[in-house]
Amino acid sequence: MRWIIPVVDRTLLDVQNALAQIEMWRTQVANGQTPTVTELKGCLNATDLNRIESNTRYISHFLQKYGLQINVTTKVDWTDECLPNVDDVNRIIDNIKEIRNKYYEPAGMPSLPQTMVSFSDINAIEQSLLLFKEMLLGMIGAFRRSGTFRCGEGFRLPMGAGVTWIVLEDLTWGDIEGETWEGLMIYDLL
Amino acid sequence: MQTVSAGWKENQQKTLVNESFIEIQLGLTDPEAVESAVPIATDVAPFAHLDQVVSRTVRNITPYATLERNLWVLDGSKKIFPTTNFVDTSYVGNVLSNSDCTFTSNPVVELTFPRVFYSYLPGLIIVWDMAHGDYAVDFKITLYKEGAKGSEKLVTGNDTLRTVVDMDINEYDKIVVEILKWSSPRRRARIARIHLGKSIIYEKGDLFTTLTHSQEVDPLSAKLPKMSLKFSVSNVDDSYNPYNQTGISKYLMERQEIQVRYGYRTRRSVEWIMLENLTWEDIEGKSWGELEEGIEWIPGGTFYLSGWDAPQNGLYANFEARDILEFMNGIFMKGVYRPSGVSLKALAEEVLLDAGLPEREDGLLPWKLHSSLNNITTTAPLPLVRHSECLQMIANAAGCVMYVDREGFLRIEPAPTSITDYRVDNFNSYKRPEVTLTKPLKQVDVSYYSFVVDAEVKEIYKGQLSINGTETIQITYSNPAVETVAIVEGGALVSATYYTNACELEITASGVVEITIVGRELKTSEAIVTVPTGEPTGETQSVKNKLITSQSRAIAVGNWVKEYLTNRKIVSFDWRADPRLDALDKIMVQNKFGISPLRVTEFTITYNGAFKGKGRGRDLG
Repeated sequence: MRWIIPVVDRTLLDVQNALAQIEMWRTQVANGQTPTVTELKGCLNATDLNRIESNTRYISHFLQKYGLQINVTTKVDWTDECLPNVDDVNRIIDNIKEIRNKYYEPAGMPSLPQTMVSFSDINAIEQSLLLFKEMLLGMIGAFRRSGTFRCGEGFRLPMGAGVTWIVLEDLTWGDIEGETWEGLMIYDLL
Repeated sequence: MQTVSAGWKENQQKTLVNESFIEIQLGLTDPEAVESAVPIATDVAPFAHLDQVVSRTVRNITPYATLERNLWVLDGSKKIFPTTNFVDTSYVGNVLSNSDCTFTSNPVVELTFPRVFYSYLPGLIIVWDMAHGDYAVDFKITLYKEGAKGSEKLVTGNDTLRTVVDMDINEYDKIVVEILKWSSPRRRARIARIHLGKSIIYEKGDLFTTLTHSQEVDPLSAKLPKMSLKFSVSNVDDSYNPYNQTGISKYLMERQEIQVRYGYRTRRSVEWIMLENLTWEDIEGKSWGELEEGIEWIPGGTFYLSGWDAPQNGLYANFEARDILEFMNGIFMKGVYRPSGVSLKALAEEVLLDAGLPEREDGLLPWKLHSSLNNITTTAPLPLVRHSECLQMIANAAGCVMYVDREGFLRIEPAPTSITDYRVDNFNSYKRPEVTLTKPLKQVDVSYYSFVVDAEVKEIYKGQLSINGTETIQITYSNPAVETVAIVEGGALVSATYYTNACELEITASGVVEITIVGRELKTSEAIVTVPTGEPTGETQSVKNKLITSQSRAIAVGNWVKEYLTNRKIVSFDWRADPRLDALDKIMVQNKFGISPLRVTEFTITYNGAFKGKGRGRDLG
């Protein structure tokens, strides 16, 4: 399971651009053209939902691995034919709440939305996941092997210090083959 | 009284009012075909409401968020699906368009009809995906008659959400809409509405002579209300000549809906929000004063086409239209004696539901009944009279007025009591109002009725009929009866529904059958309540309404009639009409000695570039 870079900076301009772009594509289709229609930042597509659910699963697995009983249900096979309903939306938001309640509420965590209809709702969800991830990496980065530290020794949680090998120690070569160092430092890019 | 802005009222205070406008929208459709159309589609999304595609109800289609490509725009406008009870979605196909916007399996919606319709329709209007803004770019419409393919129309390159398809639709029992290409890839095809037929809009420049709009309402519901419209339009090009096969005449049918609205150019207070949809080009070079000028519209009425003609030697076509009561001329047979009583509201609803009124486009019931009708009961069966007369009796027994408002709602409610700000005075009258006096009223005699079921069972009806196969027949009795039973000789009685004045029998036979109906006669007795006015001499006004079945109701009705009829002055006026006036409005009318309140009972407004009116009412002063 991999962490997928979240999108946390959607703006009203992205939404407006999306509406204009969709309209332009429609006009092109009506004129007999076949435009290449890509997924737009101002819209929520199956890829976005799968990323949110996948990152939620990533965080929860990570925490479970370190002994926290996180109870989340995720679905990562959304397609454009799917019809997510209010139960799905509530579940996605409740998953975030579950992680926050069981793990930690990172500083700067946005208020969680009640629904998923505006760009700020989705930003808040993805931002929360990103903060959990950052917190987790900091936590893991602070782990010390027995016998490598002394009582009274100064120590700070290495937040934003980058990926350390200890974070990767459970991964096989197959898991990270082809990955760049930047890819592994995902959380540090922000 | 229609609600208008301060700018409208200010305009009416001028010696020369601003420019006025009129708009008449005539729906060229077949009301029976519209009401009987049943949509069928094979591959429908689980949240679709296919039936809504032909419903006349105007719905705001719910913009449910789905994962179709770029459909879930994050602007806050989308709605999350509930788990059940999806509302207002109309037709939604289950198949997503391909990347090139075509479909692997084309979405098809069929409108099926119970019989072949021979009416001519000038085309149809399809409203596509109102919720998300998509539409069919390429689509095909095919007519079928008894399984045989008729005419076909292929539309390509459409770029509108509301597509008007021009094609002669005639001799059809199935219309098939096949979507070939959608406007966006990876999305479901959606159709909000399919309107059979089209609309023509006439503006004041199209009117040939004078438009006449009349309304008449009796505040005592002693006679039926009436609202009518007459207008003529230019027929120089013979569009309305019935011999012109390419003209409009073939599309005209009785009962087609006509919406009228009136307008004035008025000044309004402009706020920034009113301009938010305008571009700089829209307002560049305009002064604030110009922005403040606009046309303010008020509804003029909802009518149904009742007649038209285009004189062969004339240059114009004449149209006449009536209100919704035009649909209520059938006899109501389902009156039932209810010894424990029934509310007048329930009774009115029975009549209205049986009348088969046209559905409204907004989906609302085409009537509004006042809550006071809930509290008044009657035991009487409704007699064998027209549906409209049944409602008139109900209104009268309730002490209410019955009328059709400009939105087309049939209303039964108490007459308005507050005085409006409308004045007919020396400023806007063409001459002084004329006054006639009715004779003094001495008393009001109101009959009330009670019913007794005869102890003896007797023959209510006996007759012979020829029936081949299974037929439903209606039999009316010469006297009301209850506990009736039909005996059929020479055939089989399949089902029977008995009312107090009639019954409906379904009989299977092949030849002559003899029908005998036995039951107990319902005897009626009458008593009279007299409500004196205090005048020593004068006329006696009788009120005989079979639905008044208690003394207390008779007294209430008597007092209501007395209160109105003791106002003896009937005033006629002739004025520069402000078309916001409605019958039943209480207005102020100036006379030689002052100004007096008046209940408007009838008026006729004419328009030939400006509004002018003649009215009549009862002085309440």
